[in-house]
Amino acid sequence: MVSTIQNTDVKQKDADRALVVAVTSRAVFESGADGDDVYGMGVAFPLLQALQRVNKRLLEENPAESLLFDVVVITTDSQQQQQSSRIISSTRHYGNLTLTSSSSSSTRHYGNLTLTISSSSTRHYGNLTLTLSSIIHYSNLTLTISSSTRHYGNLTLTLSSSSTRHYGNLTLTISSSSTRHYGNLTLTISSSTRHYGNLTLTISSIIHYSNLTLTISSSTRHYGNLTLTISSTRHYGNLTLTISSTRHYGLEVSRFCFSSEEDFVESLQKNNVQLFLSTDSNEAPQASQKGVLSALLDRQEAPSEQLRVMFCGDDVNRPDAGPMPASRQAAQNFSAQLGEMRQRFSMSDSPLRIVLVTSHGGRESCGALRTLRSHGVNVDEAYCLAGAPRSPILSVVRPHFLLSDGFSGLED
Amino acid sequence: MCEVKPNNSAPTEDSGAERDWAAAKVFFDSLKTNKPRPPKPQYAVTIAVSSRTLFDMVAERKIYEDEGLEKYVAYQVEHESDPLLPGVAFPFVKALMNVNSRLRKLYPDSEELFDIVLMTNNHAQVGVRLINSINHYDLTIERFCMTGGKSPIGYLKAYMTNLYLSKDSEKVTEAIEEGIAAATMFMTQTETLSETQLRVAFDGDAVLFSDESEIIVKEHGLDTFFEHEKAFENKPLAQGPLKCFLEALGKLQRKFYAKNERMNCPIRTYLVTARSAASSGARVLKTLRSWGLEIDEALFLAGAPKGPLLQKIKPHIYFDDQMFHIQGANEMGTISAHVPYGIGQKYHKGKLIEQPAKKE
Repeated sequence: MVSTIQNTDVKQKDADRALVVAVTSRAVFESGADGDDVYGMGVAFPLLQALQRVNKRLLEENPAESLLFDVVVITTDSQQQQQSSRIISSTRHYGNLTLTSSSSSSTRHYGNLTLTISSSSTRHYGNLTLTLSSIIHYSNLTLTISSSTRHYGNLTLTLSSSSTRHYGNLTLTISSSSTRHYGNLTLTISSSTRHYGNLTLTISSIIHYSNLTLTISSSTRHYGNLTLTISSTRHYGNLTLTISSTRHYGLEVSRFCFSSEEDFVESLQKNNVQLFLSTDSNEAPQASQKGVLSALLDRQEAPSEQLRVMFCGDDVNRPDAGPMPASRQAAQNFSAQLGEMRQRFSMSDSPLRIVLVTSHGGRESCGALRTLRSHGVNVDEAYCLAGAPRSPILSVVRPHFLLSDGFSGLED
Repeated sequence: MCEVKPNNSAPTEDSGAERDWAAAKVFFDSLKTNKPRPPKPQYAVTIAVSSRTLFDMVAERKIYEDEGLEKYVAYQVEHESDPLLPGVAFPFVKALMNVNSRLRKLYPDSEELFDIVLMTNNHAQVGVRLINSINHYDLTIERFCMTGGKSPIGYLKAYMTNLYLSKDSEKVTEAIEEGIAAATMFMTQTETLSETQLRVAFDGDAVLFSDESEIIVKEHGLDTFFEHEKAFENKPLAQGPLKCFLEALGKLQRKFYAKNERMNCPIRTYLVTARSAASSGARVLKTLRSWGLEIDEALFLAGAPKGPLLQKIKPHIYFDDQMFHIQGANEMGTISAHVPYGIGQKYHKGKLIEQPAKKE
């Protein structure tokens, strides 16, 4: 029995216009220890982030844009089907959070620890040592140190936590107005934390800093975004740091489909999925046979921030002999919509990139380029191999996934 | 410098690559094309040319610089049925094709041929015009990389490139730093070149050989240089960025010799050096011998200008590391290519140039 649940944290997309992409839960999340409430990041994580980036840019260009990626997370076996709550909470856990919290604590939807250390007109400050340890299940940790201190000796800040799990965002702000002769600022953040969200570090207005040593070490996996801003000004008056709060968005997943081996393809069809992505080499052909465009996902080294879609052009030119197979039609529809999306951006600064690779030589590839163009797909990069194998090129191009319309198995 | 194509690759790599190639071959054969399949990069001598060296794109380049990328691409698309005019590397490419057809006649099944790849930064939409132009001149260029703005260096490696020719000196410098033989080509008006024989001319120091001796000249003067070369006559010089390319040419030449075609060989190589035969030439010849390389003609100019001699040779390409010589050769109608390697880059006509801070 399939159940489909909408993710209420995320704005639902326009069903008629959006480009629905389904990704298996096993591709998105990596199973960690059974005791964890939240999964680790899986193979498809960079891809999801790239899709989100494209959506963000599309909305920047046109806030009323309806041609967006609509991401669905689908389970394809009964074991995963049972894990619905864990999947949903994992989805909510991650994402980009630009944390902006207002000057003290009044934020909603958080469990916060807010620590404020302020000292006014302190001089000859010796060493300030701050130690925080062993925090569990903290949502956000906000640390603010502000002072109008002069002759600050050493500021040593140590945040260590052993066995901290589910750390949300760590925001550290050290600001000092008219601080001079700052001794050493040593910042050490070490933890065996997992699921680290975003670490935002802002250090501003320091003059005559002796040493600034920043050490962030952890056996943390899946670090979110690290933003470090150091700006130094002089004659800083009063520093008022005001940050305002936003809601905590997780991954931009619109829906969850909890289906099993028997009915996941049906689920894909019911949800109008235009592209199905899986790490399982059996699942993809199954969906493809029933007319759903599918592609295999593989772990990538150094995945790019830009969404890179590769088309294999060998079948693009084949003459239409008889009725078009369903998968071919699906491929054409998808590529046309993707092409339209690509047009929203300029040639050089696009979060989405379309790449063509063909086994043909140049002559035939010319035709493929033209055919794609006639379907509204303006290819950015093209590689005509003329019989050479694909893998050396793939390792340089690094597509997130490869589409070939008659699903022929992918190497690597 | 020759690591790009290792001769003894591990057996396991080979069998994986062999399987890849076998599978690709089966698929390619099924595509039913009459043209001969381009050779396997492992055995071939791969030459990557940029679009601006293969074709004359000066007018189009101006549009790109004055009006921006989008207008440039739109212009190219609008004119994609108009073939481009031949560029500075065009005669070189045609000469390579001629060698290939001679090789195919003698060795019908061999993959030891020239493999010409179009390696361009251009956007794939411009590719249609490029491909149309290539077809118009019936050039056997089948492999293309249109990187849409990305650096070609990774692709040069993926295709095991033996030589990369471009108009962009930054890319060429990057390639040389990565161990790939590369040179920047400059436009020139040239007379008709031989259509039956590929002629490649090389400078010696900092092109075939390292710049170790040139450093001595620049920093300590000619007399020290002569003494040094005489003293070290029997010690081979270290290799320079284009040594492997000469080696690759030699390998193909030997295939003609094996079939008794030495007199009629369609490849001829020249060394054109400012060294003099008497004092510093011996070391050069001995170095070549120690490498097992032959060069057809070695011309020692003892400091005389290279221009008139090159004019007589009429090479399809001449490699030199010093811009001064490149300009001189260009003025006399020789197609020259600058190899941005070694100490020669810091000097112009013997004087040290002020180097601007390297762009990050």
